Amino acid sequence: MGRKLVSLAIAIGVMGVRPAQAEPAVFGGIDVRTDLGTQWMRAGAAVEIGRLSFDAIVDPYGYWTREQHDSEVLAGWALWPAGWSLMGGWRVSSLPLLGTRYYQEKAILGLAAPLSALPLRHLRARIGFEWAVTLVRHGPDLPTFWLWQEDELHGGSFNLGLVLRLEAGGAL
Amino acid sequence: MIRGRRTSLFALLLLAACDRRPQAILMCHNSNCAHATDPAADDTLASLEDSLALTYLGRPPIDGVEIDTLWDSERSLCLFAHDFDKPVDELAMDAVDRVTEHMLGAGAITWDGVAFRVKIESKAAVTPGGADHSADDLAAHQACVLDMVDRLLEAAVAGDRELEILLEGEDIQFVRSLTAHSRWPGKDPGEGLAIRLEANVKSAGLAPDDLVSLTGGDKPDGIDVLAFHSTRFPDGQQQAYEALDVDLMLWMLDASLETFYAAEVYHPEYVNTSEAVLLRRWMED
Repeated sequence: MGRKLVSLAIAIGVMGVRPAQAEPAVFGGIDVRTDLGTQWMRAGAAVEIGRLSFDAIVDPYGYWTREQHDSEVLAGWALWPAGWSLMGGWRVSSLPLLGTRYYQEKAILGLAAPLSALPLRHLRARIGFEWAVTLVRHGPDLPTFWLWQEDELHGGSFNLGLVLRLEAGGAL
Repeated sequence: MIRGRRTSLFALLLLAACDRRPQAILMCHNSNCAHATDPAADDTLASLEDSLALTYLGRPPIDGVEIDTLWDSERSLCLFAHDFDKPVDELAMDAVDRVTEHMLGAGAITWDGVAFRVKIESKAAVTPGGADHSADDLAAHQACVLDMVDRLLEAAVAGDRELEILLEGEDIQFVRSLTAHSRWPGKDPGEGLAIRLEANVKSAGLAPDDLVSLTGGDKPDGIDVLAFHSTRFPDGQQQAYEALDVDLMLWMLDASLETFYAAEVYHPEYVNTSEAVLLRRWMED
């Protein structure tokens, strides 16, 4: 499902670029992805001030099921108005393990771009590519491991994701 | 000419440096890796015999088998089954007898040429309605498991085979209390023989201090092996298992992309699957 939505977004994206947002704006919507780094769909909110953006993404399904849930904050800087943004942020993954919860703290680096051609004025879509690396894992009664303490760097310490954000909102 | 040789040598070194597919110990899930896509063949003596007879490239594709035990409290039977839906009664000890016959035979009985592994998984329910063990049920079920262990150890000695027995209970208390039993042979019952305690990550009552990796290797009732299943869920859970520094067992019913991915990324010590031949071919590809 996530993969199809992202493919659709890419198709839409080649049709044009959304005009630059001149005034501060807020948006809220869903975040879907193709990989297994998090649940395939989460919810998010974004604030844009000129070329600067801030995102907060939460995981209602994960909170509800008490299985793995991932919460993150991202900041972005548009390399040119309404163009590709360089994104960086922090994700906290929490998951049940041996009767307690284990936390994985991940740094995120990525690129995101606005897409256009959505029919309604207050809707927008963004696509992003992100790379997350687990810097530390910790939890009550469980071992703490920093990235550099790992015996062997497995693929599981890294996560490459293709993300689509569908949002509603507008200028304040 | 010399330059060409150096280039070839460099290419060979690069090839040698490439990571091979994971070389896990391959176990036959539910004693059925001869009829992988037929769950009705799970935990049957016929499938066990067929699975033990499998060959791939002239040797057994597997390194061991899993035997499920189910205590039927109403009839006081220790069954070879994973639930009460099995249409015929077959006893867990009869499954052990098939394995001991195999161990007493000639020739290779494992792919890796090391110890034959037998995993004994004890189910939590003792009635079709899902009742838990009473004290009497627990004593009888554990006596059955210890009988199985004794017979396997005897056969290993008689057949001059190395043997590793993995003991798992759906409820962690089953395994914990087994090690306190007067008949418990210990984790190292003899040369070339080993008993390891295993838990599933979903085992009821499992806590961090159950793992030997987190509490020190000499914990007599500590869990040595942690089994997990890989599906299309977020993979942080599996990343967490590898941080526990315990030997992992990846188990699966049928192979899927997620299970192959988990085998490649998390390098489990054991893979417990009904698709053993497929997994062996994949590992050797």
